[in-house]
Amino acid sequence: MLKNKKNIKFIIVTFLLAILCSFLIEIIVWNKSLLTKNKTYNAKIVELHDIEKKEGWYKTTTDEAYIILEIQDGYIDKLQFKYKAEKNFDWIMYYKNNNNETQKIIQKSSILINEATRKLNTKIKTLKIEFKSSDIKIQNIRIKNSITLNSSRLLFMVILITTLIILIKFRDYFRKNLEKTFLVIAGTTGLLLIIVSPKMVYTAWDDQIHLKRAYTLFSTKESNFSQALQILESKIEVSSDNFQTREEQQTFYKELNKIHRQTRDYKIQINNYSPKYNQIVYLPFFIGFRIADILDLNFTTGFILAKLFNLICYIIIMYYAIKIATSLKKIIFVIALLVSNLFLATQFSYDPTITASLILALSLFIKMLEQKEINNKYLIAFILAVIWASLPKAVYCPVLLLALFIPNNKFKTKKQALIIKGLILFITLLLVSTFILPFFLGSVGGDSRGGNTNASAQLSLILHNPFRYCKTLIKFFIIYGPEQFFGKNTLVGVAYLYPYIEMGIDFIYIGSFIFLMYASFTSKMDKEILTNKIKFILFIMLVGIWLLVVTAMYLSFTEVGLNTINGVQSRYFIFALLPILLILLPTTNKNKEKEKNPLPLIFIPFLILMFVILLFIFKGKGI
Amino acid sequence: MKVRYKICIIILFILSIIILYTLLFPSKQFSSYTYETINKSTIDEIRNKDLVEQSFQAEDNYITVGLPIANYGQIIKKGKIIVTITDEQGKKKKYNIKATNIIDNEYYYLNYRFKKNKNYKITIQVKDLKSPITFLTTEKEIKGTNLRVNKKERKENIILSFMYSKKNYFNIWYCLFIISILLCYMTLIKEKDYVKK
Repeated sequence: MLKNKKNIKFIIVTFLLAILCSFLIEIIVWNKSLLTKNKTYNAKIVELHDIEKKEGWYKTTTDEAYIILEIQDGYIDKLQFKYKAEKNFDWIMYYKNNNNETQKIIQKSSILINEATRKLNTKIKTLKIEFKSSDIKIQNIRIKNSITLNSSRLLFMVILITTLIILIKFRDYFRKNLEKTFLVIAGTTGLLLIIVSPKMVYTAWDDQIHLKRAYTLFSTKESNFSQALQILESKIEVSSDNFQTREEQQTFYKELNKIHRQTRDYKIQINNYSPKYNQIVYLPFFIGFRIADILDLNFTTGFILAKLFNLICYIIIMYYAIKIATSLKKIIFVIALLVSNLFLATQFSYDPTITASLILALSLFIKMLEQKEINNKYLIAFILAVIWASLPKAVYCPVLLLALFIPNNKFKTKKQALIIKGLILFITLLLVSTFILPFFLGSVGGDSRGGNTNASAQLSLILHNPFRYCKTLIKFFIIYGPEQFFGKNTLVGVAYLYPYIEMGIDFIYIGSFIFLMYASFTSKMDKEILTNKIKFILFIMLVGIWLLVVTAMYLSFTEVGLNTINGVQSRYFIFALLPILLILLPTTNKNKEKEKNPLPLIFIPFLILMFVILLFIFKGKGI
Repeated sequence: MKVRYKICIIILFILSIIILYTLLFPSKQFSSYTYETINKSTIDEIRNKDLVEQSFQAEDNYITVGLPIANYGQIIKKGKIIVTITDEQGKKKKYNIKATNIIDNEYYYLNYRFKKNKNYKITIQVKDLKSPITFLTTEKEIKGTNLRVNKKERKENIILSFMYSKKNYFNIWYCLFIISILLCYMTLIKEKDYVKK
């Protein structure tokens, strides 16, 4: 497609037109009320209460101090003022709306920045601002009614228009080359997700832990760790409630960059002497951070680069999983573009690369079954893919045992087959040993995030009372099993940014679920490849992995004596969608006709992702 | 293909040397032992002029001790934490920890060689801190431990974490891993038939 100069010209022209359209839409639609009111001016103060004026600053003397402002023109888009305070503070805006009802909006401001900008976009005559702390200094109170271009919205429009037009124009090409379609959709929406997501942690599960590990990857005793990184780890300081507009976020990011430059030589203790095999998955993030350091880029740019490298790693692995597959192409394509996978691939999380590796491994396994003689590269790639997924989480190593069920006649000789299978068994045992190695290395006790946890005590409980543990497992599966495999967190999990998409979550979830089922049940699986024996083996593998995951969580994350299992999350089972669907799918005789991919296949995942991003932009505070 | 095979043989040889070397001359591995957590909590806010004294008996020959410090999610720009470790003979070792170097809810480790079954006391004070810090505690009863804050005895103890060194044979695991994958590859690329099909 890109070899044709005509096509390249078309793409460039489309892109330029998309930029023009986006600017026009941004101005005409989002800034139309400001077209005739374009100005910023100092607010007129009509009343001060418990506020003294000193050295050009208004200083609150009690925690019920307030200022009343008169609004010229009767309209206010944004309120701005500079402030100085010793600690974060709350304040409240009061005004009367069109129905003469008093509106009360509670605000929070952080001491990390020194200017508040809050959006009102309403017609009012007066505005009362009440401060809930004393000793806050304020100055330069302004009404900002000027046109502002929202870069996230602009980028969203540009990518939406360009990608949609390209998908429509070259639909036949994309229908035949699903892996390239995936590249385009994942690349554009993933990049957009990275840019519109807050440049903070506490957006995805455990991302503050992953950030620290990624940044200090090869350090053992101590590592450079600037105060900017410490600020991000400190959730109280950087709650998104503290930065409610783009202006405040931009100011916060500038401040972070400044603090990082000033304190990049600060060192913290790591004392991480545990083997590094389970941290190799942080390599993409680490590369992003190091490139930013070498090029002396801003901290926030390094933050984005680190996430970008993780996304690239995810895209590359999934690309090959789709490319290699024949009858599984559609299913893997839809799973790869699930909201949860793409969202996590753009955050500090290693789950997406693990999911991608396991899906690649399963794709390679089915491919090897389809071949008359196995391709050496596929077998080595299969082994490496499972190892990549199992090193951080050994629970996934049973996937490697699938290779034992490749028929011996697919190898050059029977002896070769037995040697390979023996070595694979040995590698699996080495991976399993990573469960118990920490006990010998003396670095496991329990994860205190789960409360009073004690792995040894839990293990003793299982061994002395196995029936009780079995009952706990069965009960846990009945209550939580279906939700963990097909629930909202599996298909549409956006972790702590869930409130941003809450209003559309049901629509997105049902749409994703139906589409996944549609892609799966319109895929034609060969009866001779996906035999009942293979389905049974996949089922046993799934049961084995599920048992390993829940037992690991029972030992390390559940308080001793509880009748449930804490810490089991749906993201651990996203990869399981593929084997589950393979087990449930009907099989047919080998179809010699190449099936034509339906048109909705290339549009619906893209539109679902763009809808989610749209909700992030509009519902997310300060994005 | 012969070249690839030869390269694999060379790598196997190197890995075997590494395994032998590790068996004969193992490096040091640091492992940690942490007090069991029961009803995890914190002691009071520790400010300038407060005094924390934690006594304990070393259960092994530890080489570092970690203090679980929390700073209530605040960024501390100035100040220091003064830690003194006193042994049974009254010999003291003092440490000045910059408050900027501590991470909320993380251990800060101090190098000190503890002897098995000997008693020690850790004394903690802070200086020039504008915002308070605290330490994570456990209600687990541990032999030889005693916590006092401003001379008042407490029922809980600071969750101390100790590190000790032991012989590290882990390189053998890495080598076996790489050897297995190499052998897989070599078996796949070998052209010669072993037996007739």
